[in-house]
Amino acid sequence: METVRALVNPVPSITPYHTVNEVGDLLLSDVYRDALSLPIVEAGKPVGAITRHTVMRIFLNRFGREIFGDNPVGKFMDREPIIVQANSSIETASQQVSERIRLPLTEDFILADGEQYVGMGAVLSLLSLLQTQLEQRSQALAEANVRIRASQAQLIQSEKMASLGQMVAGVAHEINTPLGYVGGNLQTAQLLLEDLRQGQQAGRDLLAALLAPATSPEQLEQTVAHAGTLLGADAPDFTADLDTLFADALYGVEQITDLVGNLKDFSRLDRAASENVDIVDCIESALKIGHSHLKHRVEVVRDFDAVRPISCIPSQLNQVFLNLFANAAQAIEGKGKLLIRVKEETAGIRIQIQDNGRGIPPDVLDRVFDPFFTTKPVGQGTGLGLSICYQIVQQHKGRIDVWSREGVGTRFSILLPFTGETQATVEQAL
Amino acid sequence: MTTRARVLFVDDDERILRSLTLLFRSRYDVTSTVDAQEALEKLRHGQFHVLVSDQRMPAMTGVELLREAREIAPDTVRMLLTGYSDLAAIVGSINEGEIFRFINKPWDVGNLQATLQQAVEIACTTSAPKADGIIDITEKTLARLAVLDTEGGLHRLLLQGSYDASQLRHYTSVKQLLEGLQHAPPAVLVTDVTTAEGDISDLVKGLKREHPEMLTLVVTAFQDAKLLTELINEAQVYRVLPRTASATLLRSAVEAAFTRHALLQRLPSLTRRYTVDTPSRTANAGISAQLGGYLQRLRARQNSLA
Repeated sequence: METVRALVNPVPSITPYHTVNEVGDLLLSDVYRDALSLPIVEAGKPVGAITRHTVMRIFLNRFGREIFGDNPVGKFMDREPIIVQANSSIETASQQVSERIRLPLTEDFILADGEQYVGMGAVLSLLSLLQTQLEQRSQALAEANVRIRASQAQLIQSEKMASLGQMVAGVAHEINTPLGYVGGNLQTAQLLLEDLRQGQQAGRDLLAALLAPATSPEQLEQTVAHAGTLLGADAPDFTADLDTLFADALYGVEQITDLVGNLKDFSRLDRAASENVDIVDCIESALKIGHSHLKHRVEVVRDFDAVRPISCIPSQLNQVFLNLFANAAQAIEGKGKLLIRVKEETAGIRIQIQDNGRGIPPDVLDRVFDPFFTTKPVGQGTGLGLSICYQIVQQHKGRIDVWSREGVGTRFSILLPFTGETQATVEQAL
Repeated sequence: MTTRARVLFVDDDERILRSLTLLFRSRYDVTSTVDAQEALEKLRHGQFHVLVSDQRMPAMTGVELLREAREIAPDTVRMLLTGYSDLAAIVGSINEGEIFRFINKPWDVGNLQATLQQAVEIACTTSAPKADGIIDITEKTLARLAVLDTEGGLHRLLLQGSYDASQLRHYTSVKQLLEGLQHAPPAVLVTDVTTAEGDISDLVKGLKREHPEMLTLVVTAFQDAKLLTELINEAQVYRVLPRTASATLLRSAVEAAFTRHALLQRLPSLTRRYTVDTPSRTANAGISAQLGGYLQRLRARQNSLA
């Protein structure tokens, strides 16, 4: 910590027995040229101070020098001078001095170690020291601010990556099931094709044997028998199996195409704002992407009105919906319900997302939209999910509210105004 | 072949069932259902050699199904076939399902055929008694508990579980453990898969391959789904416990392992049920080399005895 010891000007002190005249002379000498006041010390302890101002007032009196010049200065001194401990911090010293100092500035302050006189300090030097320190601090603050912004940006990025990762993992898992039977069916079909090929070969051999004049009756009988086992009425018919295998494989490919298409719709890498967006489409898209969170556990109840299209950034709203669905899925232990409502109101479109999960305790409910607020263990959540939702809805000039009761569930309510998004604000949001 | 082996597939997607049925019906007597409850009914009323279940299903998870199947039909070899590799499912399939293999969707037809064939063979040649409880744990088996633990935390936890130090062999390095094993392999080995010496999963896999009757308890901060799947398929670990496990939990797992080990001693053919897959990779060259040396010395000794 920086102390005011740096300010000490160790000027020689005077005693209360110096005369006013002597003090006047001292004030004119080089040693005290810059001093506003002189320290008066007895047995090492400061007992008072006499200011240049006081001495001048004495001398300015008519016959002042003649009447008072030989008087001891102790008679005129300030008996309660400003004494600052030399080891105090710049802040403490400034506070102490500013409480006592009066304008115009007529005095310096005494610096002491305990009761021992050390030297004098000037108010102006103290001010400039304070200023230097303030500048250093504000620079440090500015640097800290830059660092915080950088790490905030990093956190937002990692939140985005985490939710993207979750989404991709969810969809990858969804794809694994159709991929399982598509791949399996094609490999099985390949095996069956081998059987078919043998049958075909047996048919060809039979035809060749029939057409060749040299074929002996025994040879012909053998060929007919072989063809009979592979192609006869009792032989298995693989074509029906192949039909099934291919039909299912094609269905699976369609499923995978849908999932990939959804992923593309969902992320909309162009991140552009569009007019005429049907909010119901956004919700359905987010539901498909979040399917793996909800599957078999959470019954989704849709209560959708046909609503007017709005102008918005769909990929951002998708992110909001997915986040709320994933939160709901996490809040539900075991099986539960997710009710999604879309209604048109005069002010805009109202979207309500309600779960019957464990609910949010009242003491944290006010803070759920705060950045970095999380109830999850360290490392499991950035606490940015809902705060990003909040920002996105704000950027759409909408509002998002939360209602929750422990053991009953949680409801998020979003209002998106019809005239929310103009091109200019969209660009700002990006 | 007199009667064909019976295989039961359970999945909530009928296309998966169709695909598996068409692949396997020429070899096995295949039954399939989308309903886990129905599967349990079938297991109650008929003998199946192999059960292959999906994990995520509407009424019941695969782990729940396999746990009940283990009670109803312990003879049936259990496998999980899933597109989701969530940690809870994998750990559950080890500790509750005691499964033979964990297979990911999409599957490779050739591998699946080979795995199923192996499972069928094992089911046909071995029979698992319903109750482990008939076996007494003797002091002698208790003396054969080993722990590999560099930091000492696991060792302390085992001692807290009221094993006295004389009953418990404590190894602080892989080298020490392998030296100890050469004389008498323990009944139960407690270890983590990542220690101060790095990833030692190669060791856990190799030891199970060499000593199928030795039961492995892995105590780990499980994070890696892939590694855990390997511990099922390539190491047939008996239990996986979290690093935060209590002394009581660890003790009950050790007890269960002792009982199982005693059963394996009585019915050695049962060890076939712990047949492991060939490791798919080498995780740690140093550990692999040490293991190789150990196996060489073991072979040399076996040869000189023969």
